[in-house]
Amino acid sequence: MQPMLNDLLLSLAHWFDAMPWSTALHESLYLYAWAESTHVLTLMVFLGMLFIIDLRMLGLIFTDVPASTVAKRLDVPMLIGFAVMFATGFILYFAIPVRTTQSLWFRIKVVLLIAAGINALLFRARMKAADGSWDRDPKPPRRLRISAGLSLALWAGVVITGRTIAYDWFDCHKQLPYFLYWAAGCVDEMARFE
Amino acid sequence: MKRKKLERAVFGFAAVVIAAAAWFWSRQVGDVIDLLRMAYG
Amino acid sequence: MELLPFFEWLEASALGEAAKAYGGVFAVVQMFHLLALALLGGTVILGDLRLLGLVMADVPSETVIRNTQQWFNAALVLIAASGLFMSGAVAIKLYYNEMFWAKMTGLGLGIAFVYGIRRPLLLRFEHATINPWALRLLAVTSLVIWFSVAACGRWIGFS
Repeated sequence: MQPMLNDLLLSLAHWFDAMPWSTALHESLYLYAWAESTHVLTLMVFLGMLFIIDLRMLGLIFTDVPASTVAKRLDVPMLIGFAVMFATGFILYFAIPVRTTQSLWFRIKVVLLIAAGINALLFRARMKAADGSWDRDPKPPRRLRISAGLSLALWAGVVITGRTIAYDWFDCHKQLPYFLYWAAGCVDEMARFE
Repeated sequence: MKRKKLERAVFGFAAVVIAAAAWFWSRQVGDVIDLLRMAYG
Repeated sequence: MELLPFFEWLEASALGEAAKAYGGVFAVVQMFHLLALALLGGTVILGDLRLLGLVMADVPSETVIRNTQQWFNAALVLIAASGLFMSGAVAIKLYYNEMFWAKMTGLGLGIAFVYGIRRPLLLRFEHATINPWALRLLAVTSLVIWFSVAACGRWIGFS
């Protein structure tokens, strides 16, 4: 399963890489830098709003405002931020597709993103299922506090692994143990072991 | 009154900051345009 | 005032040595810098957009300002401490970087603005009694300052 997925992702990356736009972005004087800057600066909108919502669910901010009010009012700016980050993030991947696909950090980041997404959906379901009895409590019930803590940890992980994509510590061309080649999907390097 | 004084400080500070930011960022954008002109003609 | 000796001293100090010697530590500190950026920017944006009436319009602006202030303080401490550590690694390079000085100017203005004008006005007086144009300009000025500081910071790496 994993080798097949690796080959599939790698051919997708090569397909993007062959597009003239990908090269143009990569070699552009400013476009790539602007996409990256927008990606980073939008953290203030997306992650900033998310932090405030999660801190409210932990009972650490806006304790005098109902939890659902904070979550509902900040939902729109947060989603706008997410849309911008997703779009600019795709541009960054599109500009350097092969290296990114074989980046250990990028892979961890995508896994964390999916986990954070599932956590967010569960959180929403729990919020909806709740009868609102705790809405005005300064400190929400334990189950929701755990979700909020998990959300903070997962998104912090997404930021951290996102930043480390730029470092070449575990790139395929380095001398690495087999399991790191496996995790990063370095198909050619793995073949050399066999 | 203290409030009036702080309001005046807001107006003064805003004028300085917005003018300075407009000057600074328009200069940066100008530099970028110059460089792109040199690079692509 | 000649500042170059300070930057030379900083780069040669134990802090600068540590920041240069351990690439992994530098990366970790940089991550905290980014997380603090999100928190600092988030509290600023929320407070300013509320003053402009664009978010949380059904929550009193006094409540929004009061709730976000201590998290702004925490983020500012974290971002300044991590920033100081990172600057130790490249202090002399920063001294010759125009964007770094622009960022420091903005940061100084921002801190003076927050603690000298924004908080005294917004925490001491009911917002309904404040000139609405002063409130709007206050919000716009705050957004301009902190966006500029963040953008200059990002651009230090490119220039």
